[in-house]
Amino acid sequence: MKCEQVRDEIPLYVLGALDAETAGRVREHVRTCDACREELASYSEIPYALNLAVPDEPLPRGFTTRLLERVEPASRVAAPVPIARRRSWWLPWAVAAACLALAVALGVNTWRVNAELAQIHDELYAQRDYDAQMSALMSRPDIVPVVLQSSRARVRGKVYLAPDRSAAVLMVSNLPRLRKGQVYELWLNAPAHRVAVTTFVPLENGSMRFYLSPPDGLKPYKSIGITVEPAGGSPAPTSPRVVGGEL
Amino acid sequence: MEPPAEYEGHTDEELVRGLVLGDARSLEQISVRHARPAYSLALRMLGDPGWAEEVVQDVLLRLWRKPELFDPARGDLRKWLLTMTHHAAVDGLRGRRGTARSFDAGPDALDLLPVQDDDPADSAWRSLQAESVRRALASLPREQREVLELAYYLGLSQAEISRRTGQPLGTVKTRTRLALSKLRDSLRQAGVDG
Repeated sequence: MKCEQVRDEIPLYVLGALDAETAGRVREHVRTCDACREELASYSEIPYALNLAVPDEPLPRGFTTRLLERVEPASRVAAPVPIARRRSWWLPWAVAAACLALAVALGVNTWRVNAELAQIHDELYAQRDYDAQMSALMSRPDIVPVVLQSSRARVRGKVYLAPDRSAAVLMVSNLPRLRKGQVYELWLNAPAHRVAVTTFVPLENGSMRFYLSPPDGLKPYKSIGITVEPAGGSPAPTSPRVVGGEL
Repeated sequence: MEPPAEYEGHTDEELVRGLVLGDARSLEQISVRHARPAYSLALRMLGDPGWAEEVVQDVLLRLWRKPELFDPARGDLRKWLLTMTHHAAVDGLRGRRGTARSFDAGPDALDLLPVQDDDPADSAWRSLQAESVRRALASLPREQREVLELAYYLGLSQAEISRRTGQPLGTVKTRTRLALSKLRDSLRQAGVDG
């Protein structure tokens, strides 16, 4: 598609009035043509402007009440893989904290999650307490978001750090599916040592969340990373980081 | 039903983080803050209060179930909710008309553009923007405004507009381009170009 044709189509493209094939050709062209991208950008506020330009109407009485009635208390938890989701939220937190304490006591700098410890700590740490702590951290106005880098285009990672670096929430999404016999492994790196936090398999949609609250906080750790490792994990990373960054 | 007062001070990003944790009060505050413009848009497009409410609630529940769909790095929450509402309403209209969804959703296309900064909390500025856009729309020649509204608010294809208005397809396309170009220029003059 030539620039002249593309510029002709851009207004219709912005309105969503092009068929998928023509829209695809416009998109391809705009990706590589600065001038046409600029032309497209000149229309970028039009859809939002049209969204705002409608007559202001009051919400029907009871709108929000009816909305909340449609929110099943367990709907989020009961999503495709409920157990994995719940466990993924608390396991690394509860077990990592306890394991690190144990590891430090033993003079070992590796704390690893395993199923037995998970069972034990399932009884020790109520899910409600975990949710409360995670919620308290995430709702802090002074929380520090750190965007992680990835070599894969779609993979996203973000760490939300407590300002005093006592704890953090790690969120990753769009992690590629693993091959049989592989797991992801989460690492925290200090200048003089590396900690293998946990191995994990992400949820079906490729996402995973962790609450990290090691006893000595996150201050000692300068970076975080996730690699693909053989099942059972590795003592040190054996492949490049899928996602990671400085803390 | 009013959400707890402390939620009023939360930013939209903090509220979305609340959704990630399954906090329904965050959803409540998002609804209080943003449902009205989304409902106004849906009602303009669908013309049916019940249908409009259902569409907006579906959008909010989609955000509740999958808060990761909203990426704060790509723009503010209100903009996202309005975009989703527009998509959902167009889907609904096309579904009712039996039109296959073969049209590319416009605003998604803008994902490849750099993110623009704006202040999501500035409702006064938004009101001003809305008023400026209404004036700019009103200043378009009637036949241009008609094709623009049919395309955007009813999700009609250019061919459908041609059939509905009895105008040749080429004329419809030319009018749509002219309308959008004039609207862009008017908004620039009014300082509403992002």
